[in-house]
Amino acid sequence: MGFGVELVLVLALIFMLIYILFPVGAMILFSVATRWDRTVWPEGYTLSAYSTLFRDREFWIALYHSTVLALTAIALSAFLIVPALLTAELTLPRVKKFIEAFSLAPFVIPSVLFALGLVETYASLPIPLYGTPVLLTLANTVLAFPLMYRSVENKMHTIGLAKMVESAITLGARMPFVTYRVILPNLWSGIVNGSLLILSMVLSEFALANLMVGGSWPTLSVYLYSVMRVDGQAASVLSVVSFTFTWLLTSLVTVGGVRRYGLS
Amino acid sequence: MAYLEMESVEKSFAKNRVLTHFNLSIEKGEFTTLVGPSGCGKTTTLRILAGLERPDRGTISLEGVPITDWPPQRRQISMVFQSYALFPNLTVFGNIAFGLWAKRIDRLTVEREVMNLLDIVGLKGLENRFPHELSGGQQQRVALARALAPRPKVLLLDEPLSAVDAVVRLRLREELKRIQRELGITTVMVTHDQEEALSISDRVVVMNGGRIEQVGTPVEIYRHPVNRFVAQFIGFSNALRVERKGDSQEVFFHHYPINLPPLSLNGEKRLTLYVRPETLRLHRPHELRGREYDTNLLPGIIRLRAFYGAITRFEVMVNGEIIWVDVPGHEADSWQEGDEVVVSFSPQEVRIITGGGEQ
Repeated sequence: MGFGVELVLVLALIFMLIYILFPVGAMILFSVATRWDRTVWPEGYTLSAYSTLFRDREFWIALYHSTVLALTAIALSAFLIVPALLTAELTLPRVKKFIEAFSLAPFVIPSVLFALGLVETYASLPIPLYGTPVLLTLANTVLAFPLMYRSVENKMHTIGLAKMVESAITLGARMPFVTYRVILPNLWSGIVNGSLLILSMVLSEFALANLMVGGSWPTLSVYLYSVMRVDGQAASVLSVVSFTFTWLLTSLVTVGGVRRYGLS
Repeated sequence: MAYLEMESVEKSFAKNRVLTHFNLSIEKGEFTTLVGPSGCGKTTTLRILAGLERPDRGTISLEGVPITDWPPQRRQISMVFQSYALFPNLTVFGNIAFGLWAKRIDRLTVEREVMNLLDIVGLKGLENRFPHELSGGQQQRVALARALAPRPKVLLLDEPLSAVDAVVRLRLREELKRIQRELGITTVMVTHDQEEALSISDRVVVMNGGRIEQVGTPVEIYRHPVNRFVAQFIGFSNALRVERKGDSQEVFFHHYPINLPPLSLNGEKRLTLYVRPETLRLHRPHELRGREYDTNLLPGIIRLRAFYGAITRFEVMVNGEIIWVDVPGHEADSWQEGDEVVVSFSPQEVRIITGGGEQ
């Protein structure tokens, strides 16, 4: 690699870091500023906005709701997608094309349209799901589908899992044993990656949560919206907390995976 | 009844017919190799034997028992994949022990068996390494040991040496044969490398377009190919198109008379003679003075020489057609490009093939 190319790459990296870190840094700084509208740097620093947020019972309820929602969506999508993908890969390769096509649907359909469609449909049905967190969970699982699908499918192909499974069964192993000793350990990092994406998606998802359950079962993003209308600094505090919370959860999941399966 | 049998097996993928009326019998302890061009159905045959694919028609039996509907787990047929498919999360020990763990064999027996196999494949001391810490050759040995661990009745090898370099490949080939002999395990290997097939096998199955073209010992396949495909696919052959004058047994390559072994030509006028390059000899024209009207003498000019180590291959132009002649060792040193030569061969070394079959 020539010096010129290397220089361009280093500059691109620096630009990317500034582009990502600058707003995050500004947000963190604003969340601890006493006042920051007359000077270049904040006039003083305080954690009072944080203590106000942590004392708010509504915040803890919203955090709890979002966590439950995210973990349920992760579990449901993993349980639905991993076996389906493996079956398609091993026995019905032609079905994979359809799964792939369907996996793009949540990317194509706007969330608002999706939420309104679900609300319209379930409001007219005699099933008691309309306006409940159950329907929101199921809707989030649908949105999570491409995220889990892409991560798992990518991992599956990279490591050649289908051949490993075939190899394991010709050695006399039954599927539960193969799942426990071969599939899960080797797919774990793919599942973790998918889970992290879903976690971030669910924690920041607003359109579905607001239209389907709104204030009756507030999630973190709905709470953020209500706070933002009143106090800009509280919104940035909440964003920092939400960011830290996501990071903590993802670290926990990753460390758990490393401990369990020795994989990063 | 043979130890392992495939009877009238047919298999298609969508509209693509992969195996057509496929019959194969393999004896106990035999090393059989399926060889053929890409897409001829070799790997599908192996996967059907392993139970990883279901045949559309036909039966497979092992020790006289039909196993066509048995799942892979029940067949006791292990397979080594081209990519090895080692489990990256398990150590060498774990990989080899996998089949024994699946059978819930006690810890001490597993340890003893794995250590024994590590010794057989020459990997003792590497049991705690992970697959990514091994060379290609070592990974191949682990895959072999893993397949042997559950003591299968049949071992299937799908191009097991294709992912290693030429030197390692040669050494592993010998080792594979030694291990197979030592354990006496019935083995079916797939390869597209004809040299590998000939050097390692007790029997070779030449396949083409989902059919078996010929089954025989390596010597039979090489020296007595039954048709054009086998003659051209296995080894290297000169194909001399000759013409028959009248109803006589005499044939001509251009205007040079060729003497053939006694045979029935069924009135065919145009024939193709297959002659291996190593059975041809080169002469100086003056050495044959006075024998110009003898048969099986083809005068020409050396156009190219290629050194292959043990042999040198000469490209001789005879009446506008190329004939390859292999000359061993130092004998080749006296021949140069541009030399006028006469190519000769014995009638016994000629294989004659008319139409699709053999005479």
